[in-house]
Amino acid sequence: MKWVVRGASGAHEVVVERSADGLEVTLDGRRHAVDLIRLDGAVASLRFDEDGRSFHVSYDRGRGRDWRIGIGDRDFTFDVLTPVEAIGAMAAATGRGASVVAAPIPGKVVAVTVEPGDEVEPGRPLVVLEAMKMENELTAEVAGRVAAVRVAPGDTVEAGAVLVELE
Amino acid sequence: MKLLIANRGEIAVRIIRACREMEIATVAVYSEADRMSPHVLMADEAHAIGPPPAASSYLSIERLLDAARRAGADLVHPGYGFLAENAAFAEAVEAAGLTWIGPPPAAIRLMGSKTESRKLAASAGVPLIPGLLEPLADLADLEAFVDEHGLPVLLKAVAGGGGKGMRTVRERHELAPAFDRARSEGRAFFGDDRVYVERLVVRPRHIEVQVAADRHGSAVYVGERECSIQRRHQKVVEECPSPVVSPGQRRRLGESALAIVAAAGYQSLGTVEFLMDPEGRFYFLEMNTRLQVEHPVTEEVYGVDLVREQIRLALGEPLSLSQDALAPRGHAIECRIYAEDPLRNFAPSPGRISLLVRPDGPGVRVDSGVISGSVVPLDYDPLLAKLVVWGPDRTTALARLRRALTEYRVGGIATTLSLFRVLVDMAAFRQAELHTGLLDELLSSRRLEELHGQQDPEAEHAAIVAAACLASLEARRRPEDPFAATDSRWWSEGVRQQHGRFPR
Repeated sequence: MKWVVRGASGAHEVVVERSADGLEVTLDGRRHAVDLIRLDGAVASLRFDEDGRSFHVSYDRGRGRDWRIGIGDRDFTFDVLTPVEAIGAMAAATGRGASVVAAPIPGKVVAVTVEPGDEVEPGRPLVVLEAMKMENELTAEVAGRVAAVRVAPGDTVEAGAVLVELE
Repeated sequence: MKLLIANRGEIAVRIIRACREMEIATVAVYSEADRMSPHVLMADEAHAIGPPPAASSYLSIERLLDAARRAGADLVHPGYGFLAENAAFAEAVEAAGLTWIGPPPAAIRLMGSKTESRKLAASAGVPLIPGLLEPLADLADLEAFVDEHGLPVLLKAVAGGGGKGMRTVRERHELAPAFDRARSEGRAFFGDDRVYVERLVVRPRHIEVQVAADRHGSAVYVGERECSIQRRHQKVVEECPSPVVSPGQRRRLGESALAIVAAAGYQSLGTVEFLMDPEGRFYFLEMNTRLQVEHPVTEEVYGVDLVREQIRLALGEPLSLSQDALAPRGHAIECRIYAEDPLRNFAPSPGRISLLVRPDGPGVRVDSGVISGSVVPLDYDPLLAKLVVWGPDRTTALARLRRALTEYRVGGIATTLSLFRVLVDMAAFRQAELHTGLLDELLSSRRLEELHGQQDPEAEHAAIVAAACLASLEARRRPEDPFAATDSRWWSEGVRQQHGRFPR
């Protein structure tokens, strides 16, 4: 299964597949064979086959897609989203009427449909971003003038990269 | 002899422990929320005092005294918080013919007044933060103050408050315009253009001195504690001794504290709080007329039982401590474990503790008010427990703290444990470069999870892998379940309560 895991250090693409004796996880392009055993509804053991590293995991799923994961005595929170949900979240992030439109997940810019100085109405497409094998139109939520376009078609962008600035 | 504890949580447990060693019978009181709390389970007797809100239970003088009458108690220990610094309660206890474990009510009242206690400290020759007690007459007045005490200074509107009407001046040429603006702001906001001036203590440390005084004219200071790690003016980590207080400073701080004790005719345990500036000058802040939350670090380093001493003093016995014999040994650090979520801006985290593993081993002490299965109510202070580590020196104590944090597990609710995990690896904390704004600066600089990830990228990597694996396993289990969103710990907890087991 394919996930977008969003946390404090940004968004990561993770693919999880079942293998003969555990799980195959590909995180940011690196493949790991792991074994994850759940002890009850809150505690699990995670073991990396490659070097035997073993982690005591405590976990708690919130109301939606948010997970709190404790690794030993370190605490993290993540949104674990399916590709479709990640794109929905991306649309929601651009819909706040913020003056900066940023990429919430990594992707490739397919098209830029505005130029600096353009007056935009709510719903006007700004950038088309390909992520998770889907093309996604990022639209303006509020009316405004395009102050700057920070990307060009063909650019690969990281999560959080500023695409378009409105004023 | 029978002692009623007018408190709950870890401090009630701490007092019961002292009583048991002294062979004093204990009486717990409990609100409806606390029927199964450890202090109730531990005490020899327990009496209900009302519904959960503190105002109708732990803060009700009438109900507490009624419980004391029913139990036939001889002594009342207020703990800290609640009514511990309420002179009217102390008077009511004494009027009921009971022994109050604390200072005379008049001393509580005196120290409860900021202006009266400052006057007393000044009369005892203890330094206060330099400032004029009268409003400034004019600019010349302000310049004369700066000539004497230097910069920076704080201009405060007489009628100001909540940060309004305060102005910091760091440069000499800013004095005149700042004075004019402070006056016009005071006039505009509060209808009063009078302005006070005070020397601003930049990056202060919070240093406090433990004192104990008997009714026979003897008093001692039991070293100092440093409580500079604070979140929004609330102490979070305390240590003893302060890493920066020299033996000579310790003696001067102690003698200043004892001068205040003598001037106030103070008896019992108490704590005199000071601010210390980066040059090592200290200034009186206030005196707390009760047992402090952080008393265990002093106990560990000085080998004393402060609660036992406090009870003995209340019974009129002479001090068992002598100043010459009180020497610090090693270093102790305390972390306050609160039911607050440091990953969600310290939001309260009430609920049931589903898992509790306490750290153990050399140099580790846990004063806890909860057990596995405890329900943490929203009605009271969220302090669950105090983790105290001792080591022969600060470096060893820090290593023990880090080790103890790896053992301590609290499940079912969020706690401040993960904050301490980050703190123990911060260079400023390790090198003891502390000031009271340090923790707030750290927390506003970055999200705590980001700090965890920076300190331990391997853990963050494992957490991402675990999150994706767990989400996959869960998605496979109920692919079409329309109620998947209710698969939360609340649902699990409901099933657990009804079936007495965890759902599979």
